[in-house]
Amino acid sequence: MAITKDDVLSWIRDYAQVIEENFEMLTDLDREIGDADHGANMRRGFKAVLEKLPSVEDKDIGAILKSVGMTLLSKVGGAAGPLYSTFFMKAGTTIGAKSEMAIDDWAKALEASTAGIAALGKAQPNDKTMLDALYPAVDALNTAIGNGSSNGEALQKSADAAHEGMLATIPLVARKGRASYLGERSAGHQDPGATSSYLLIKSAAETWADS
Amino acid sequence: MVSILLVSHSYQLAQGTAELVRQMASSADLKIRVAAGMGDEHEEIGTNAIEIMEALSELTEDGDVLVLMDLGSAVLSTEMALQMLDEEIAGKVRMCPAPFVEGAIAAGVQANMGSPIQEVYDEAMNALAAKQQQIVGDVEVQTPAEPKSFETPALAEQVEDKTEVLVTVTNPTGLHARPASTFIQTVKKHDASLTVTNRTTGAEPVLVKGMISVMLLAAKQGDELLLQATGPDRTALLAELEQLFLDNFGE
Ligand SMILES: Nc1ncnc2c1ncn2[C@@H]1O[C@H](COP(=O)(O)OP(=O)(O)O)[C@@H](O)[C@H]1O
Ligand SMILES: [Mg+2]
Repeated sequence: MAITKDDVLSWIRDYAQVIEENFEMLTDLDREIGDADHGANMRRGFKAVLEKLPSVEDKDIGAILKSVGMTLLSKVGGAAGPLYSTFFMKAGTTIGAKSEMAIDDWAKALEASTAGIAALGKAQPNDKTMLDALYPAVDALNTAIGNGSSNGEALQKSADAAHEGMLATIPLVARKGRASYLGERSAGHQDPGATSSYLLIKSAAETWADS
Repeated sequence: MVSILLVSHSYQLAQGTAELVRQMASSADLKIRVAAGMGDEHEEIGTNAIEIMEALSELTEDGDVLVLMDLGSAVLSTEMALQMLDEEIAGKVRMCPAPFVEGAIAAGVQANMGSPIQEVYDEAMNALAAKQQQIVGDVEVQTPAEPKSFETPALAEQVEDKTEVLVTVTNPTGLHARPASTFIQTVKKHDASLTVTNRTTGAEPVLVKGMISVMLLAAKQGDELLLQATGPDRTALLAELEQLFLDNFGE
């Protein structure tokens, strides 16, 4: 079974909806250790993505994802803008001009996207960033595929790992981004970017559960 | 001439900083652009890599560009913009980790004099030192481009065609940014190099390279400065500088 271009479009639309439902929660998390704008940033970005989507929905998966990345770049504003933009652009270039992809393609894309975020933001694991949700998601997906899990199972494992990674950011002291200005005081709060990243992986797992 | 791009989360901050720079570096040739804020009217706080890309494409048509950024995600957006630009354009761009306001002013004054990008960069990087010295006293300054031969009076004295003049600072606030900027622009107009010793503080002689080196003299009202010049235009330079001190730098 494969993940089709329409599945990819559904995922993006679903995530935009998830952001709409959770933007206040994301902003509240950012209020604790940042500048209270992560939810608003993501909401503005994905609203623009939804407006742009009809003009690219006839294109291939790579082109669609790259277009999402470009839109986020000019709309999101905070650190999350260039970082999520990199995520979607790297995924787009990795998958390329396909109208459907295998789970392996997605695993490669997720890995390249995560590496892209790490290269741009220069964060390490446990710096209390979105990488702390994404790295475990990549790992769990690769392991599940290696163990011969079904697509749905592999995606669910990936989302579960992202969830754990997100929760594991709570005790961490932030070492990158705005929260790092708080030093030790950033401990005890869940990272907003790790939360939005978990929601992204979870949305993929739910949307593509039967792929 | 090197251009300057100010990348900030706040449009007001960038515009205000650009205004401060223009006050000190007023030549019409100096290009200062801002890429700041988000949204149609730049009214929201944030940075936009696409806007940065556009600004860089335009500014690099005239040569090298120094970029100053306010906070971390302004750096990310600038890096993202550089990744997406052609190498030919990106190669003309230098990101500068200097403090935003001080760095912009120092870079603007230096660029305004037609200095190459490395000197503009170094000058911006020293900008914090001048403020630190004002508030907490002695600081180490990084001046990588400074030729060693002028650093000690002993060596400066070996230069034969040297001329010197002793002046007294009369400005009530000393040689602060504005007179320092006039001072350095006068130096740069002449084919000569200048070493200044603050006789009153007894500090080491300083080879004057940019505005910041003048500010680092920490010259207060009443301080005596020994100006030593070498090079073909040394006499004209010293005469003009002496006049500036007599005129209180027009203040
Ligand atoms: N250098 C970085 N590398 C990876 N992720 C980062 C980095 N800097 C910030 N982040 C992520 O971005 C999130 C904050 O996003 P957002 O609030 O939209 O931007 P800003 O911090 O500029 O206000 C953080 O919670 C963190 O997960
Ligand atoms: Mg924020």
